Amino acid sequence: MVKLHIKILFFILLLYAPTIMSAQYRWRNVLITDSLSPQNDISAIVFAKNGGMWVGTWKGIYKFVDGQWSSDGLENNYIQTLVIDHNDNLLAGTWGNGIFLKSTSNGSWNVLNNKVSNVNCIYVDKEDKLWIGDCYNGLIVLDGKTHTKQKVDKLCIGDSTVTSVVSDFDGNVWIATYHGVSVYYRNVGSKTFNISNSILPTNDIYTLYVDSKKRVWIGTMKGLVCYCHDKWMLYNTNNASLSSNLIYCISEDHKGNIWVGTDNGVNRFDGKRWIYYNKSNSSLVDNRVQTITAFRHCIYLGTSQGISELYEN
Amino acid sequence: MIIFQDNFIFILWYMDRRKFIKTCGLVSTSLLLSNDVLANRIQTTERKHLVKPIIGSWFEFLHGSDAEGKYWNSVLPGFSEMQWRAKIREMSDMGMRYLVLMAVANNGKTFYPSTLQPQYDYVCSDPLEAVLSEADLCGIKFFVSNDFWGNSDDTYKMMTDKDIGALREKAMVEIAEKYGHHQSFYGWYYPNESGLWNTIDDLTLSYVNNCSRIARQLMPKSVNLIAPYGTKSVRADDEYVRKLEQLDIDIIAYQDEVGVKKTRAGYAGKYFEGLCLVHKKAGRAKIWADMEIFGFEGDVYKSALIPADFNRIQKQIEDVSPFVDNILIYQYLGLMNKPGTTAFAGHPDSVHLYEAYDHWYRQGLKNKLW
Repeated sequence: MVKLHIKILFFILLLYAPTIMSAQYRWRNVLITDSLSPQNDISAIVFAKNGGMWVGTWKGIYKFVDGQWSSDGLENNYIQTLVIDHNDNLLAGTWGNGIFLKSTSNGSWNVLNNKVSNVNCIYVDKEDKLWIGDCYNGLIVLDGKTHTKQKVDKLCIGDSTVTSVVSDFDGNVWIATYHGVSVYYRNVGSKTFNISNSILPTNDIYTLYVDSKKRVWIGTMKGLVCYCHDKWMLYNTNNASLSSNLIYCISEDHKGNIWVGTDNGVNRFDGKRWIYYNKSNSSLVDNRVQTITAFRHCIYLGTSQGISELYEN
Repeated sequence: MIIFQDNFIFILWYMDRRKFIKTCGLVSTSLLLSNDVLANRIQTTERKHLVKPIIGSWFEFLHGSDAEGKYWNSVLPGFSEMQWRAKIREMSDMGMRYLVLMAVANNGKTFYPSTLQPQYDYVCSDPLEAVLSEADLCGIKFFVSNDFWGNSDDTYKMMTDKDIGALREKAMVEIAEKYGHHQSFYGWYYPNESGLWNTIDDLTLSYVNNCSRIARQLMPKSVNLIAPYGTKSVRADDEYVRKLEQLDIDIIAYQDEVGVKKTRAGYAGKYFEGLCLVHKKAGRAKIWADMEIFGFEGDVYKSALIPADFNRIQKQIEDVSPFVDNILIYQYLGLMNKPGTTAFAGHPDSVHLYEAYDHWYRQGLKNKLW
């Protein structure tokens, strides 16, 4: 009788596995302000080398100091992206007002380059060059120290709206647009992948990420594509348990899990299977997961209504 | 949840075998359902109910920019009265109930017989009369434009210049006299696109309120609409609520700005969610969407408008539907064409977009989603 009970209980535990898996993380939700505000609309989360945390919001930049949030400038700006370069300098890309650099001496924000206005993304490469994707002006490359514009030879991209830029392990630069993904083989030339010559499900590319296994992840409006050693793999709601096909952002944690933010929650891929967390099955603060940052042993999910922090149990 | 699990297992342990097995079976089934299947089913059902079909469109007799209107600007002057009427019927057949006329004049010429400016040389002598007459028959409601009586690219001048203002007022009187009897003349549209940055500026407030004052003098029952851009820049806060309270307008159809690439399909919803909250708080103007169903053939604003992929449009619809009363599109003419239409105007792909949307719309009707 006891054996039978144990068997049945084991069976129930198996059935319960997905729920138990969700308890793998301890959730903590954080708001910049306790009201519906563009300050809780999180576009970027970055950490300095000393662990200092900055958050880009739809109403300025905020810093977490001594257990409290405080404004760190650009209050009247719409922050699209935040990055920290190799020298720990903080750069902010805004909607409408261009790109700013935070002064290390007095903490003020200075306009870096007036050639860009509506910044979609900033990528800092190994040579410290800044690759800036603009909404209308295409790709602008600046020297990381002098901030002067750099000429890029033999580069041809899909269109003038650049949504994301990354560099792969070979130093090739991947550039996302609404006309597919262009790969720039430095000083050699470039090639554009789109629906007509690749597995890409749409030409509307929203985000790019290169993981530690040298895979290039491409987030689109219609699913997630992984490019690895000349092989393409498409993940969507039909062939994987993704919570949505609309991909906002991609990141990787210290264990090599891939995290994918969508308009309907966040998905984790451990290399074999997908698990999703959204408001229906977790404590996620909001289903629009717009930015993901893995820092130390915590995953920070920036949503349109606050931050969810996932700590491993 | 974990606490619940522990107690539950504890209770099971002390049951007799028959009750134990029966309870385990029932609970396991319910757990399976509740974990994934039920959650997904509820979510899907809620989402479907929230999706709204396209209820109307902008409409024009000529596109303001020849570069953007590359595929239809050369065709429209040759449209006969029957072709204009056919266009209205097409839109009615696909479920459209509201049309917003972009302009009654442009570049110093009018699209109707007027005493104020010379008329465009069109095959149809009065296209405005043709479309309003057909709309009467189809039960379509028109928001009739009160502009452009100056250079439509110079919005500031259009909104502030006294001479243009006087001409606009005379035109509203003339249009109300000539066409006000049409049942389809539902209200006015003020087409000077007032761009929003953070909030509604004072210039827009005075311009819109002045237009509404004239509109209500002429047609007390008119329902009036504006369609600002800059949607993603709005600070949906108490300051915006105060501005909305002061703004004398019945409907604000915010541009979703996906076509002009200021935002992406799947992102605009959050801006509309914030706007929906402040509109409810203000309790005055209704919130509608002005959803862009186009892309650009080349650079934004400098090249031809072309139909967007329907997958993108479907995402746009799902995105804004929960937060707006109605969805209008920019626009049917030039970007959608019924197969075999006698009034073809636009890009060849416009037929594919029509078919894709029509299929989706009919499925919705069949499934009683709207």
